[in-house]
Amino acid sequence: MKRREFIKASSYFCIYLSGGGSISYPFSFSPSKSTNLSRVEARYYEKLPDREIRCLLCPRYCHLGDKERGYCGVRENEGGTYYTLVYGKVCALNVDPIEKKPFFHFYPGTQAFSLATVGCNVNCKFCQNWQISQVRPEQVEAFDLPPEAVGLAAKNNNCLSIAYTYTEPVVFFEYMVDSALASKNYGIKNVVVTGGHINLKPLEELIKVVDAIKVDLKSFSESFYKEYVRGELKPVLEAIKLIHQRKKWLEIVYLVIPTLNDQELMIRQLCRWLLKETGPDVPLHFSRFHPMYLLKNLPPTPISTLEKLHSIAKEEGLRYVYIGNVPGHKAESTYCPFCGQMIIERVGYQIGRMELRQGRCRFCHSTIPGIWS
Amino acid sequence: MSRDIFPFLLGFLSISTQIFLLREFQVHFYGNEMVYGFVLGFWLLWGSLGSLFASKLPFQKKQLALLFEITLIFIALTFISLRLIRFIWGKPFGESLGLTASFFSALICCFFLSFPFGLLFFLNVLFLDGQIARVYLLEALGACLAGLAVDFGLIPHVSCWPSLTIIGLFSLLLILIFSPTKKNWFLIASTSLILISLSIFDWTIQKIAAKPFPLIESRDSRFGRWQVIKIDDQMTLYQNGMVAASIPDPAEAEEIIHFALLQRPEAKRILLIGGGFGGAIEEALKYPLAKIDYVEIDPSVIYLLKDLLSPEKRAFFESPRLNLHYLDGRTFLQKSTDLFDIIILAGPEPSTAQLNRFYTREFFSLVKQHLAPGGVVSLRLSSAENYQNPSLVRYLRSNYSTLASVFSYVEIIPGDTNIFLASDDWLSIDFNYLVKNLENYQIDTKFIRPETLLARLNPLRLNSLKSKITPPFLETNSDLKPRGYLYYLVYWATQFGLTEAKVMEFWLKIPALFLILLPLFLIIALFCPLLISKGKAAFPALPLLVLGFTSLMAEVLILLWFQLQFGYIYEKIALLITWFMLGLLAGSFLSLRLGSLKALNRWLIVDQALILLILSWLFLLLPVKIPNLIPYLFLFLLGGVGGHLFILSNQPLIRESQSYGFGYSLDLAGSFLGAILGPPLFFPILGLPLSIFSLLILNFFCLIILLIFSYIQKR
Repeated sequence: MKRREFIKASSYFCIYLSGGGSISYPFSFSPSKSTNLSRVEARYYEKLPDREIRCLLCPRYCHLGDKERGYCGVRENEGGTYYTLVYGKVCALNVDPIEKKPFFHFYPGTQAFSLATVGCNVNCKFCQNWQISQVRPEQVEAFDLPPEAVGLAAKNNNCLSIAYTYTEPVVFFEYMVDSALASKNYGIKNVVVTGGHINLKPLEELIKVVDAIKVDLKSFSESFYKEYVRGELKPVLEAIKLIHQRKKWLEIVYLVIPTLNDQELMIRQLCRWLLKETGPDVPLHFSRFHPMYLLKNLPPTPISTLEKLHSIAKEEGLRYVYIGNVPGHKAESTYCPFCGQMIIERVGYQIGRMELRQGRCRFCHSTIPGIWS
Repeated sequence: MSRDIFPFLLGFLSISTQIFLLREFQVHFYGNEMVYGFVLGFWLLWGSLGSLFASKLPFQKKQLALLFEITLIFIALTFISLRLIRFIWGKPFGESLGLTASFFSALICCFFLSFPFGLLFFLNVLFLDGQIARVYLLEALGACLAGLAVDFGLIPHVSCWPSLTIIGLFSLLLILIFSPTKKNWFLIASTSLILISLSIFDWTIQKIAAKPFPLIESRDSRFGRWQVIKIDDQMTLYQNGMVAASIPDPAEAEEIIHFALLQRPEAKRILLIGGGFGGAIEEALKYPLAKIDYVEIDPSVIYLLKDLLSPEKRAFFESPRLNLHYLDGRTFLQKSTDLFDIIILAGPEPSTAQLNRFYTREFFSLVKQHLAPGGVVSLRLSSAENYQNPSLVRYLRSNYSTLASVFSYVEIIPGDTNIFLASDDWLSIDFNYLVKNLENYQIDTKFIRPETLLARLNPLRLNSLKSKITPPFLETNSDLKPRGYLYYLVYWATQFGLTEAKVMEFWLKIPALFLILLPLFLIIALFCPLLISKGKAAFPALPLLVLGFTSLMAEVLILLWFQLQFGYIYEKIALLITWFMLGLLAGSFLSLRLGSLKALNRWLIVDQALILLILSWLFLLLPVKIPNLIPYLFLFLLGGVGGHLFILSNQPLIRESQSYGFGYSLDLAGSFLGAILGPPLFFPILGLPLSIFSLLILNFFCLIILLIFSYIQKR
């Protein structure tokens, strides 16, 4: 069976699977359930002879014949024109604390209107949202939520920001960019939670329209990326460098998976690289792994491992290092790197004391980098 | 007499190997009906092919001992490979191997184990000069004793590999003593060495299999294998290869306890069924008025924890406010007359037919009888925080519908694991109510805190889940129609990809009538080629095919029925199977006194009619409360008629085909179909009564064919 036939057959099966059921969100403007795939032309691709195209959005550079879909499963070549199939097709929508993304230096204590469409351009074996990231649009129930409506919805739900999250927002790039632009009218901020697997040109465009980006750095090893992520490390590092160079607010999350990416030497190298390329002020979150998806039988990360890595990062000179997914741990809170005082107290997603005054430590008046209210 | 030891040994060795193979599979793959179906199915299929092909191979009687010795080596090597299976599949420790890997691993492992047993059956008949009835009878006796010896003598005291060493050396000794042929001492020494090394390297290989994680403890109990991995100050407890708990893991423990207790913070009597070993008891003891009854089926896990935990953590298990009951949860409720304010079901999800008993309408009704006025029951089910796929929604809806059919109020708290709360009195998952209780009762929690609750109980998330799960209701999950575990299996299969999910979904779409008739179609499809090639001589093959299918389906169904009625199958499984085997022995023994061919035909019809009668009684008694002797009786009768019919049908086949293994292979081929269709598909989709109905149709058809055959012969 040829690749094209296989995809065709799979698509038919997906359509078959997706029948039945209905959902409704208690939404102020009642979005309607999506019945078909979108057909909005993609922005980053090049046309090739014989109605073939090459996708230029992410480092995979998918080379596709007519009727073929990219690796992400949500972009399709139809007669030599490349379309995104998930433009405005939202499958997950929630209001989450911004700390859940996590952003710790970006309007702490506020709510983020969080949304996603189907699809992902990598294939992490520990994905928390595999039900929407590792499937085709036909397999998932989605809503029509046009970009112009996203900002209003966020506002009506008392959210300060829109978070493009859960799956990989790069795969719904056009929708994300348009929603971000449209939401400016409502004074809503836009944040992106991404794996960073994106080419630099589209990233430049994205940086211009959003307010903050959190990159999930899965490891500092190419072999880990190859085996557990089915992606590459190098483009992610390039993306991190560019985000920092363009002075967009950046935070890095590193999910620590026992024995797979917790080697001390590797973490030290990572910290040195971050220090060199992004400076000491980019927050680095070491997040605790909980058994998930295909790695369900691994033990969770021991707290002691997280603490060890936290110490290494501090030793290497990073100023804002956090431990995530361990509510109550003292490394969840922000400390002033100059006077050592706790300036933002956190327990889980809860903000306790805030000792910041106009972005400065209340005790020593040093500037704390971030975007503060 | 000395020659009789070999068929006995065949039965003993094959059943004990099969029991241990299933247990090892449970550790390395998921121990659900699908995986058991693969193992049992391929076991029977390869056995069938082995006995069938044996006649084509140039075997001689004197090779019997040699083949036994080679089989023993295969057993040892297969179990070693199975333990290191993840390396073969190139997967790291902790990664699910998936359905495809389970399928092919079962296919290959069973080939190396069951195919030689099939050959040995043929060779044994050759060795006993064609006395197939004698071989069958002795094999059944061996199998019967193996069940008892393994279940009572080995499993409670010795782990898997040392047990195999004992069984292997015992077999080798018997071969040495009773084999009349010249001994191959080199082979005997090599076999002994490999078998002994199983015991010596058991722990070492377990440690290698767990690498890079440090395995510090492993214990086998009647209920499976407990292993402990320790990294720094964190212990992770594995039950049959699956994470059972991490210690400390307050998030998990808080989830189990607090959502239920925050409903009734002044609860005095709390019943916790399962899941108490990861810190849940410690959390429950935070409520000062609470007295806790904890029901745990496997005492060995508590003993294990008491050995490993710090004195501070151990003290929780010795609290005067805690009563420990080592019992099946359902049995506990059936025996107890106590009422509880809160009942928390924290055992595993309904991933198997056995576990499904804790999620049925009947079980929830039993729970309701033990709830004090205003009492609350809580349970947890897999979910996804941000989006639930259709398979997951169906699974959750089925459970919701079942709870709602028993309780007036049901609430769900969304998350990566959904908490279901049910009661006949009011329930509140209002954010303010829960936070007020947390604060008023000064419950010290790390994860269940106002901010987490706010995100989790956000109306968007809550209403999205509710709108998917609440009415229209699905058919409820019941004891006799256990749909719950099928829905779980379908959802479980979706994470491995499209193909697996597609296969499972396909079965769900098939109309019930087609499924009821499917065994009939399959048996006809197998029988027709025989009929075309052998003509009238093929008629006795039909009851053998039908018998294989019927006896396997009915046997498993009776075991499930026993468990539903009494709940202590683990204690009695060996005894139950022994009764089946005793029936087989008695039936085979009676058939030895058979007279002419005419009598044979008459008896075949009588046996077939008796099977119909047994199935009809089973059908009628299924929903009735029965004395515990009844399932034993059914198994004995089923075994008896099966044994009798097997010998009878085989005689004309041997005369005709001159192949001792042909009839045996037909029986196993029928059983193969029963294993792959019955527990994973027929029981949950059709339910137990309709599954029996399907068997009744099949056996009725067989009876009609036999009557026609008899009529043709008379003419």
